[in-house]
Amino acid sequence: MFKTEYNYVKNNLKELIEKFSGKVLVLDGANIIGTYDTIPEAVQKTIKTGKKPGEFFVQKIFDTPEKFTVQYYGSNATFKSVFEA
Amino acid sequence: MTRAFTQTWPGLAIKIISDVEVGLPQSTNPDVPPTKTVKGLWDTGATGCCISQKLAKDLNLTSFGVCDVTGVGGTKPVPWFLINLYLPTGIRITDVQVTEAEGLINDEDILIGMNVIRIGDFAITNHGGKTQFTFRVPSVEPIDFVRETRERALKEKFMQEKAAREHNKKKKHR
Repeated sequence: MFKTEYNYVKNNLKELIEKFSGKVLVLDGANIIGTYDTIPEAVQKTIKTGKKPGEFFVQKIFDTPEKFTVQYYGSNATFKSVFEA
Repeated sequence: MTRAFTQTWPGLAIKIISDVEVGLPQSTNPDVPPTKTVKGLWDTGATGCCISQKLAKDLNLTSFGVCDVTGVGGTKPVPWFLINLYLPTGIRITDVQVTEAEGLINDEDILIGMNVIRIGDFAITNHGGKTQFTFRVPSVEPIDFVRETRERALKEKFMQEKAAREHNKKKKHR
């Protein structure tokens, strides 16, 4: 699920940061179908276009590549890659 | 309006765990009440929140994306969701972004990370061998132990000098 969108963001990160830093993008495949200011706004407005949750990919564009990774320094959680599942 | 809650342990705590309620996100399910009470571990070492795979399934959450997480075992792409988080005393935080963890150790269902902690003031004290944790939203003022210590020392010095002056005054009158 969302492999195309995830790879698109990873492969075009530099360009996306230059163009959309601070914005929230909605993607369907490798196509940007919306640009918003917040994640809730992106979700609500995309649902209003007729798309259902799970049918679109939401990506906040941070100002630096490091901020795209969520970090857990403690040892309280283990994660399983969604693309290996 | 400021909302706050305080938790006190009978001894020294090694983890800060609160009973919190979770529910579907405001953006897809406006004004739906919380659906589940779970154990939340406050974790300043986490940049974001994460929930157990079981909780994501129980709430029937739908993913809005995939993001990289770095934790035990390196960096992996994992799904993320939105939830509403209800803290004690009526603090409601809507549309909180949470990533999915395969498992959380020791029965906690949610790690409450810095994306939530930073919206308010957060303090832990251990006076008298009892851990006390307090949290308020929004942030009201900075807490600075250095300033407090200086102010306390100045106050003590002032009180001592005042007592000495009064003592000397009484001595003169005798």
